[in-house]
Amino acid sequence: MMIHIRQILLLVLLLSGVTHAETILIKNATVHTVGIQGTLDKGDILIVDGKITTVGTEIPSAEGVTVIDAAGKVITPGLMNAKTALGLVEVSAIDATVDHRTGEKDYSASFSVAGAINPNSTLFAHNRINGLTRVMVVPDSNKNLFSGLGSLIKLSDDMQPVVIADNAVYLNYGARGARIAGGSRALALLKIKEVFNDLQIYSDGADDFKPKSSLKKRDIKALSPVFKGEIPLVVSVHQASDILAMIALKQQYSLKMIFAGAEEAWMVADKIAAAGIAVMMDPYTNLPGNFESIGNRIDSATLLHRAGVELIFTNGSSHNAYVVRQSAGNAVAHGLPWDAALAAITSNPAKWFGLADQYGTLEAGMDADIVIWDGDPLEVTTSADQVFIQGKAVEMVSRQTRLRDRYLNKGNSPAAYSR
Amino acid sequence: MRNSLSILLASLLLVACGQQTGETNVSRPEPFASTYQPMASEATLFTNATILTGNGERLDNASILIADNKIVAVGSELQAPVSAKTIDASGRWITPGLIDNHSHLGVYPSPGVKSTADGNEMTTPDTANVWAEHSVWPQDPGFHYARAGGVTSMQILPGSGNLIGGRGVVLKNVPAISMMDMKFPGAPHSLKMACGENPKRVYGTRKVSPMTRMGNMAGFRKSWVEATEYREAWDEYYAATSRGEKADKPARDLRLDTLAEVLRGNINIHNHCYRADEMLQMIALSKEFGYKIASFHHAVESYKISEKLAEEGICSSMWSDWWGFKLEAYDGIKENISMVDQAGACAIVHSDSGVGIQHLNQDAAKAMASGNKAGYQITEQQAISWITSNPAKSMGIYDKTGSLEAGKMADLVVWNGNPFSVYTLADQVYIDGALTYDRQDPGFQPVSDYELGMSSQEAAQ
Repeated sequence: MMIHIRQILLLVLLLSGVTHAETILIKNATVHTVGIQGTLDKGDILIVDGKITTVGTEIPSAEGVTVIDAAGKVITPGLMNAKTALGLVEVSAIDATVDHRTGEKDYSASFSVAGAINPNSTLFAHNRINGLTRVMVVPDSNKNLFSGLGSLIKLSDDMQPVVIADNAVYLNYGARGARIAGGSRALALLKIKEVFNDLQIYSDGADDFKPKSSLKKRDIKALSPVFKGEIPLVVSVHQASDILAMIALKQQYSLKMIFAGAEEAWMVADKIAAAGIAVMMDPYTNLPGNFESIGNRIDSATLLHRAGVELIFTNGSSHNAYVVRQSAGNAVAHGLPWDAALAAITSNPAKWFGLADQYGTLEAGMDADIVIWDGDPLEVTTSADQVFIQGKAVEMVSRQTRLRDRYLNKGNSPAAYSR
Repeated sequence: MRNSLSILLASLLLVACGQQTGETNVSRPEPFASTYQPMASEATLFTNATILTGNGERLDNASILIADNKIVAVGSELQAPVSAKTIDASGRWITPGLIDNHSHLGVYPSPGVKSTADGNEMTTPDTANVWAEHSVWPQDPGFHYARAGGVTSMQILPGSGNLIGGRGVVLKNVPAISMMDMKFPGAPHSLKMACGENPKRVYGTRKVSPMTRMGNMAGFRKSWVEATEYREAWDEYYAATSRGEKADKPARDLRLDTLAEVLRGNINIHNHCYRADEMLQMIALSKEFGYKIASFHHAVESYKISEKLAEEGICSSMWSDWWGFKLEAYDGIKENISMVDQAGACAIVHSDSGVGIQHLNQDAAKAMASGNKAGYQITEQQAISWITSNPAKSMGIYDKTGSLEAGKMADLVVWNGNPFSVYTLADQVYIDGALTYDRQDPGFQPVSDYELGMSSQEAAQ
């Protein structure tokens, strides 16, 4: 059975309801594996039961295999945005639909968002049909230095979004952290150090442990994997001097650390690289928007990459989380190698958030999160023709496409009568 | 009915002519008048370029000659005067300077702190008396970033917290000490109005009107009733004095001055309005009082009423893909701009963002591609109008800029490739024929006073 990309809708119908025991062979595409095979000009990918089993050229077909001819198309892993609130926000200005933000003071590092994710949110379909298959969902606190625990989710429609729960803790430093701490960066540093003193005592296993910092025991417990270096501490930090303070914290306790925002990271790029810290940033934003991002510049991703810093891109958006690929494209426009930009929205976030064994590259054994693009995926004029999540072809329909189709095909009756 | 129709027709004519014919302007000198002077320029011939004219044409291997701040000719095999400098633009694309009709640069500048938040006079729902230009801080570094993105003219608007937020101003994007040195010569003022959630939220939470959408509408109508009476009083006064009769001079009111100038057709209405149903109400309101809406802004639901907008001759200023940040933005779709365009209505890409304004070309590219994916065949020469000629029309400056035509201001961008690509950057930006930005030459990359001595922009060079 040979199916052209135009018939992909038919394919979706064929595949609907089939999630297992399905073998799909995608042929003849430009395949960016983001793995050791690099880019294949006329590449094939064999998918069995949701996993990639072979990536190569001229993979033979067999009886019962669904074959998709993707000649002229471009294939990448499904994309990842490492800072979103997908499933935790529907309409940003309607508080009742917003669950990632809290003004609660009592729950700090232990505020886990994993249980509240709503995969029926219209943001899921909108983002997945545009090529995004994995995201981190991130807590946000206005009252605590430690905001809580994030989780890695997939954007499939199976009501089981969480892939890894509680795989990162988020810390506010910089001006925001200073405000939360009581008005001074120095105070924020003192309070952070108190928390790490608690963690030291807690990890020593004292039976009658009671936190001396402002955190509760449950928060110290939530931070314990951070203290052991098992999961990353994602620190929101902006100006170069603050970045140096956080490098010192990282080194004192041998933490796994990611800087978020980090507009002035390029000024201390060598030190960040030497400390083995990743930078999560949006290369699309470049304004000196406040006093801690005076040094912001459009080519900072390039400078960080040259210094050897691993990059993770985010655009900070949930509704348009998939537009992170435009951010990646802009980084390339300002000097970042194309492959490094793609890695920053696939394999790098997968690695730093603990999913590199399942997702992030197109290699045997990986989940078949695959996007068939009609062109260069970092180009603004490109769109996704078909998206697969764990081997399942997703229905390329969202509330937005249905609104579009309703008003593109207006009949004589009021629009409300069309589905 | 007949009366309001004739007022509407008269105002349409005035807008169409782009003339400052209002009687009050005749009787008083223009305050805060433009002192803009073009920077130094030289006659230049660009050859072998791909040219998008902004008014629908694409010329391959073409030339453009500029001299004395103006476009002299666009075409092939142009003869340049001996004194002209020739630039081989092989492989490069030339477009009109980009125009953003919805910017808050200068009024919400970088750094974004309370001391600089000067865009929203949210003290009473109708502040038609305030002028955005009085808040513009010319040292906003954002102007330089926007210029590097190819933007040569911008309309700076007040925010949308009020029903009637105040006058907007059109600026040329040149480095200057004074707002007046940036002020686009001969451009009409605009008036910002806002439907929907913002005004009713701002005032409703204070338990004053408007608290609801019906309160919004009542607030608009109250202001236009007052403006109509004010205009009539002044018109009667001028008529009487021109007949040599003695008449009582009406008391002057800055707020009503502005509204009366709208009714006279001298100020363009730029109306923040997301939802289709509210846009239709605002059109009805404009007919009740006899004024013309130049453009709806943030018009995420224009695709639902695109034929009506075409029929009314009202532009829609839109983002390529923003949606969902509030309920009135919930129905935003990626095909909005293309659907408006293809219905024959005036489609505009606007930024409302100091970052977005640097990438208007990318937004237009996204909108074009989404439309083409849905089945349209929109070309680059058509889509460039969304960020050049159409915004210029909405701002009343299309007779001066917004397309590459002989006699117009030599506002143009030389791109290092197809501007509808994420990888393409502006190489040079010319404003009134003067080189104002050059990507390769630090001598043509201005740095604001604010950034001097503490910014990475110097280190970057």
